[in-house]
Amino acid sequence: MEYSKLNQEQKNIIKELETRKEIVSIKEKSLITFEIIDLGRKIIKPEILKEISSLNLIESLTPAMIKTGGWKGKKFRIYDVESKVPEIYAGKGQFYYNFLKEVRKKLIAMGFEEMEGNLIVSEFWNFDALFQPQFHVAREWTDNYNVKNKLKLEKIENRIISNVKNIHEKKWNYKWSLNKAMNYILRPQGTIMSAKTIASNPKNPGRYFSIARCFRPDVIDAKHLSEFNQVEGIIVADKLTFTNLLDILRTFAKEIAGIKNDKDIRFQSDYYPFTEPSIELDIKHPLFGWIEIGGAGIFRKEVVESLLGKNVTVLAWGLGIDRLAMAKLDIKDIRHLFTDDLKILREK
Amino acid sequence: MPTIEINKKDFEKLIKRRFNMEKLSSIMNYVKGELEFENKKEDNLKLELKDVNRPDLWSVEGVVRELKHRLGIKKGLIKYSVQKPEKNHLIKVSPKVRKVRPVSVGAIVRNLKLNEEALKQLIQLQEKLCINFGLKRKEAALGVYDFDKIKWPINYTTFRDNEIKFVPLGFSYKMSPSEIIEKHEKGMEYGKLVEGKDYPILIDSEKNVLSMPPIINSDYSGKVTKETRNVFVEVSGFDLRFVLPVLNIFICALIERGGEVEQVLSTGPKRIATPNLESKEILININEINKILGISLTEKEIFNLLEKSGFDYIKDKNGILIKYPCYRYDILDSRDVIEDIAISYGFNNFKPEKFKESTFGCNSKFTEFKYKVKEMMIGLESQEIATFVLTEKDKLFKTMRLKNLDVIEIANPVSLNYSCLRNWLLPSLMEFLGKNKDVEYPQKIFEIGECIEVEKDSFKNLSKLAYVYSGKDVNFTIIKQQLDYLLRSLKINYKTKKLEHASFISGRCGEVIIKKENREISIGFLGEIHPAILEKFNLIMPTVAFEINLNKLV
Repeated sequence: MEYSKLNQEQKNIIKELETRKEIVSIKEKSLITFEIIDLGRKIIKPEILKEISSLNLIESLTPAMIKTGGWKGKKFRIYDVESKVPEIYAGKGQFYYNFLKEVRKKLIAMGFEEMEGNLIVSEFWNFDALFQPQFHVAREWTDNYNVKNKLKLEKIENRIISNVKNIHEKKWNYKWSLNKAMNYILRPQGTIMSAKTIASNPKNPGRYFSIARCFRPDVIDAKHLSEFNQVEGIIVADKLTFTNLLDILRTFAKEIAGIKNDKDIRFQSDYYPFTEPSIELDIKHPLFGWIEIGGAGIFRKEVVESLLGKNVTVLAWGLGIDRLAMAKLDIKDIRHLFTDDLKILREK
Repeated sequence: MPTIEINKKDFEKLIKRRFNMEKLSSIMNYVKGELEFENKKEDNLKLELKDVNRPDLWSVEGVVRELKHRLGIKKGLIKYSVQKPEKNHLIKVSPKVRKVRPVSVGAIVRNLKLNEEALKQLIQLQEKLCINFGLKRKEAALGVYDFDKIKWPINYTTFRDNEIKFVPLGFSYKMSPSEIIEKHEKGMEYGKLVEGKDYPILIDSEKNVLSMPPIINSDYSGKVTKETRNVFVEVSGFDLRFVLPVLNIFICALIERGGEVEQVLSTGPKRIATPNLESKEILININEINKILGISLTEKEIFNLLEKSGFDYIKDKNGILIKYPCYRYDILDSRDVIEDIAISYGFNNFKPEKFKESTFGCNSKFTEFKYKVKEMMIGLESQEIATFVLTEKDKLFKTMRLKNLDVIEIANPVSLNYSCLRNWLLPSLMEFLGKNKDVEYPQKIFEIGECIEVEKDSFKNLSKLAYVYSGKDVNFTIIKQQLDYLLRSLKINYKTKKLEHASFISGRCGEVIIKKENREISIGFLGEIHPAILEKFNLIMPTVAFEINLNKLV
């Protein structure tokens, strides 16, 4: 509505609403119309006036004109080449997905091969195969999204089930239950795909990665989504070391997070149930100071041996890619990674 | 991940060193801890501890004990001296508790000097141990009692509701067990752990109730104050696997506060004297250490790092026999010791080294295909969008004028908006259009996203492509042209067949069919969106759309 046509009472209401966020916005627009008045006609150069009022000017060139040569001897109407034109929008990839594509390119350049998997997984792959005992606090029902449907049980090789059962009962000293392991949850982390890759006789040496949509029952706000993306992977070989893992993490910090100086990369101690040693990767952000961008470690022997049947060294890493994307794309609110504003998508 | 509160002054008094905030933050890395503080002058700090398998670190006493080692203030294993139990320092466990809560063990600690902060820390440790490690008191509940008020031996038995009354902590009058469960804050919280008619009761030989495990102590002997010098600590549960770690860790923390320990006998379920603070052993090979860490430490360097980790060692013909403290329950494999060595060495002191063997990097074939499709959609001047897989049933079906289909539903949703997984994409795209009705038209958007289809008791994880084109001049021909361009470019032969689909205008919707292995299969549909749906999203622009299942194209 036009502000100038509002009555005083309406103007007061607008003023009140203006102090609150995102209810009204007032934009100033000016509309200028003009026509040549008599005085103008007098002072304007006669030839231009003639051109303006001439009926002989060509407005647009048509195929017929070109064919017949009808344009010959005539003049084209002059256009204002400096004036603004209406904007058009071409097709574009979503900016966050574009960022993930860049990450993907770098991983491939580093020799990583892609792994894929389902959004729905049985607890077995998420916890049991990753050496997390069934009585563990981290396995609380409320920490993951549980599937309500009665689905038929996932088929898992007997060899793997019995290895996992044995290692749990031996090391954690309790009665392991297959039943509990078969409960379906929404994938809370990408590491499941690494576990499945180890279980299916991976290449040696082998490098694998996945970019996975994951789910956690968080209340959505500027820092949390209940759906997010995780980039993770493994390196499999006989002779791999902790120092190799540090090198990979440093490469990620430089190539993916854009850190130039080694001084701005820091390794901290960390904990994951399936890796030992476990490590946290921090980078120094110019504005926020030290921030954690990833976790990593060497897969425990208990995990590798029960899934693969023998022991090789497996380095595992994961990157908090949403946080990296926010830093790179200058986004303060994590929800904006999945923005539903077409204007922003068209411009970003 | 537990977060504990510590007081900087108390911390510094215990460790006998002073630190500035930067230094304090950085040394907490030795205990896998992250320090949170509001300002640098604040004394009350929050410490988030990442290792859920190190309950020994869940109080300032444990953190200080660990840091004394890592900072070189104390070297090697701590040797605890524990007095054998006096004959009547006994918990007689009655067979009656067998079905209720069968295990009870204890310890006596004397000559404590407790101040306000020490009391706070002990309460915090008790809470963290019983909630995080003892699974909300079910597997382990710990009580601390004034030793000087107890007439030994103690009986651990059950009573019926009408047989016993005592004053619980925090009240001033006697209550029966069922009253406590009904009225007492702790009773309401943990009452469900003692279902049935028999209530477990710890009672001394003069019939003074100590507590009703795992719910609440008595006011008489179950109250500990700054003046208390000698305490009896008791832990109850179902299995020694949970109960003993809780007791040991708590007692070791009391030792840091100057306590002297005497064992207590228990008869249940088997005869045992606790606590046992003897060290444990694990054998480790020097080669394994250097091989996995990628450095070449000498034997002497390794010994130093082991001492710095609070371990003792004996050279053995098979390697090094490590002696590690009783409060460490996380050491299951030689690798766990190696991590301690690496932490003592300092992660940032390692020199990163490239793993040089090359491997061939690539996307999966399906990903490559999806990128090809994405490029073509962008070529059609369409904007890609990203939406959520989680949604709600009404948005998938009712809004789209469809009857409900089976989808994956969440048993514990946080919000109803995110209570199931989508089985198709178009509803997400329509919702998107609805939020952008004031943005310039025409609007062409697409998404390639994951969907889950459910059929009876099985599910399929699929990638689908949906595209909508909204603008004043759109019609069926236009959407068919766009789909035709896409499928032709992908070299896919297809035909369209008339389809009745309530989301589209009747007679202006088609099913897309391809031939695969001599069978005709449906890969999706296209058409003009029904105006009743546009109305629901307050859209005034005609809209056309298609959605296809990409899994069927590869």
